Amino acid sequence: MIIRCALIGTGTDSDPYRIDLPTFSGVITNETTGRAFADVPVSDVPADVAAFVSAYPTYDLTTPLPVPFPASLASSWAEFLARRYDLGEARWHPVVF
Amino acid sequence: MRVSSYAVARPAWYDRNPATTLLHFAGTISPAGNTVRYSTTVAAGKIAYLDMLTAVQSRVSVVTSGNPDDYARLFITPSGGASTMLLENNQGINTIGTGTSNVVANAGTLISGDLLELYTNSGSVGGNVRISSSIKITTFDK
Repeated sequence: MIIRCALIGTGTDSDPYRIDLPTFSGVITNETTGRAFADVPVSDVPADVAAFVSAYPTYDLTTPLPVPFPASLASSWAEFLARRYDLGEARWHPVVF
Repeated sequence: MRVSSYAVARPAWYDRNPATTLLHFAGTISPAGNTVRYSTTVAAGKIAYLDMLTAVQSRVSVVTSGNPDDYARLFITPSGGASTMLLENNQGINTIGTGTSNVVANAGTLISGDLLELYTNSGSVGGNVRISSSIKITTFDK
């Protein structure tokens, strides 16, 4: 599913612009606003996050969300990914932005 | 991971809960910093065959000064290791419509924790290129 996420990184070789997710594709960015559209596997998105994305659709990379992405959802998404990939530590902290 | 009796032969890899992953990026790149356009990480207990990867570029408009410096690069970071470039596609010709392409089949095997990423970068002054890149991966239980 297409999700507008926060963009991290500085665009250098050692710190590229990227999305803080284990798997994604089709990234379109706006470095000025720090937002990016990414296609994220449905299996990597918990139901409560998917519900938030559906409730607050985004159409560009500039208009802010009407409500900020709740910290509780960000935390549960990070834990969901850590359990699903089970690679030792929670390494991803994606934020709908 | 599938657990079976010792009396039963272990299923072939393509019968061990296989799943296909397709990652794609297509876009026109203006001068911009290094950006990860797609990425995949192999989860614990999984193995992934990198069936095919492609990278194609074509020039949409010419750079206004100096030489073109536009590329798409696929990097692999093995679990616990250092990042290494797997493929580079560079568009160094400053003529509209010119292009380059790479297609690689049966590109290798990834194990748990391995990370594969497509980076794009345009260090040119003005001008832009269209980049299209895809990978196909078959993931299955270890």
